[in-house]
Amino acid sequence: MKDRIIEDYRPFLSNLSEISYDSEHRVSLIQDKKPNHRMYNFDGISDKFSKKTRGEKNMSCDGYYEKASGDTYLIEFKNQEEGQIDKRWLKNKIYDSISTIVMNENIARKDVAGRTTVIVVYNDKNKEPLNDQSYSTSPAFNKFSQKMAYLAEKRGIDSYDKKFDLVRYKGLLFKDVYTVDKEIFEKDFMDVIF
Amino acid sequence: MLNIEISNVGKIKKASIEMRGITVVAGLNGTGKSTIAKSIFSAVNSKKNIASKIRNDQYQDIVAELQEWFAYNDDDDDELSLFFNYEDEIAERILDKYEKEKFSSIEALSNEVEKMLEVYCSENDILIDNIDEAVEQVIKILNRSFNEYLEFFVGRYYQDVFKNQINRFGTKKKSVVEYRKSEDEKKIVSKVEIEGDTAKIIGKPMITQQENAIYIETHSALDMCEEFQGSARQRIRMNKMTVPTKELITYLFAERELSFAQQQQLEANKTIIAGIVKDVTHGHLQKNQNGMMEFVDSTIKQKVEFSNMSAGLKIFTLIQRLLENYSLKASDVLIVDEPEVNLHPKWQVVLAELLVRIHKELGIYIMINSHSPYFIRAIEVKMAEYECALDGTYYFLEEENGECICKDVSNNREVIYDTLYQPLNSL
Repeated sequence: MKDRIIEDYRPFLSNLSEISYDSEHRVSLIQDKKPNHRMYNFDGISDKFSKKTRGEKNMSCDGYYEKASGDTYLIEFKNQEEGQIDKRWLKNKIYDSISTIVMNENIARKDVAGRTTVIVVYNDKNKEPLNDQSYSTSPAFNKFSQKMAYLAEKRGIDSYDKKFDLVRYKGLLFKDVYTVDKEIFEKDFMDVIF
Repeated sequence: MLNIEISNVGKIKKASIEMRGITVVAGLNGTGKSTIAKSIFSAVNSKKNIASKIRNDQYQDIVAELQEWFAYNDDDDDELSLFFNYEDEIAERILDKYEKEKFSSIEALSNEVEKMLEVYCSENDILIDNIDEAVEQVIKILNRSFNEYLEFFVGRYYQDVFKNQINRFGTKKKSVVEYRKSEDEKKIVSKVEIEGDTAKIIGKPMITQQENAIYIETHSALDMCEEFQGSARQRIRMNKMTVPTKELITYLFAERELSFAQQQQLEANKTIIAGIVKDVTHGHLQKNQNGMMEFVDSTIKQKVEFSNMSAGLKIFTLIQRLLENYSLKASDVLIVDEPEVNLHPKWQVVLAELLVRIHKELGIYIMINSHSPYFIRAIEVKMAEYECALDGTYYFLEEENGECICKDVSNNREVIYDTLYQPLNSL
């Protein structure tokens, strides 16, 4: 299946290394330059198109991808430990990104919500000092979750957590959501998306 | 910030607990989690109401001495005297005088007590004999030092809480509990050494303290309210309850006369509390016209029997009531043993959020013993969400060579989750 290219977005096609680039730490969260692993730099899209309509840039996820089937993926790469991510900021970013798609593609929000899967990719190896708004990753707690997921007969990518209280927006802002460490993304999600 | 240092208490060899906001204690059964809870509870509460305890004790002792003296003097065997409690009234008068006036010497005090006894006996036609002996006994009671009383009451409080088993099992070492309000050594609120029935206060403790500790050992405390409000026989059963539960039930029934500032604070708290629990309890505990405690469901506008309430709901309503009647206020310490009991994981997350908000918005210290990965993780995540993650301290208890050791794992909580994960993994 050849995945769809949206003509207006063509200039923003890029590889995962570029899209997941963390300018602060000067490192790509995902080291992947494969030509068939290309998606839109949604930050660039948002920058160009939302400025036209709103006069200022919307908050935006990093990557956007549309399959020939019509299923779309919004991907946020965050080179931070799970517990360092601000969930309110994340929710707003996803909300703005969905709004940008609605405006750009001139389609109803419920249609976007019906076809879009959000994936938040973080980096549990990037340890930073804890502050009042963070908590540390617990491999043992994650193993506990995985075991519970297995007992609940969740398999494949469905066995992974949906953290940051994002599930409450399922069906409202997006079709589904996954929140995973970069190693899991590379191991289990790349093949599903591409 | 509160600090509690414990050594040789129950199963605990040594523990150093820092309470910055929410303190979580985890570990296998029998490693001393409840010992830590009881130590914190006793350290905060043992000096509570000390002045009135002393007065009450002096009163009882003086009454007993005078009863003996009157009995000795009552050679007329006047049956009428049985109907008069002379000694109660004299004891009250003596204590009032003692408290109001500063006596320069024991002699001055003796003279005053003797005069009072003489006047009182003459007013009531009581024959007096051997008055010196009675005065001597009363003076002995009044002359006990504050520190003697303090040691007596503090020691008894600890022993009551620990059911006379505070000293470390299998050793003859003294149990020591030190309570500080900051790391500053000078701000010791109390340091107590206990050996058998004897307590010794070390250093110069702070006498006045505003904070109070409330310990929810069991959610079924609500069902025990029936003992409190029931017949005399039921009230006798209440005496068999543990000190924390007895105090908890008393707090549930408490109706305070608040000062203007306290009333204003309570109104502000109520707004916050309503926001926190509005989607959880759908009602509240209240005292009805007969003084009985009842839960009124605001959705169905009807009283619900405690026995018909969801077991999980009880912990929420208990906490709500303590906040709404000002029993639990800023700087107090709320201790909850295994709050997850009877709660589905979904509600454990809700309770964790509620406790985090109570700490964050009302300034209450919270100490939790837990075996639940859901609950502990929810505390961590919600504290970050409410921007107070650094107020969390985490401890893990384990047994090493027959001794229970308390480790501060605030910077690496993995051992807590790993211990909770292993049983599931072994299945």
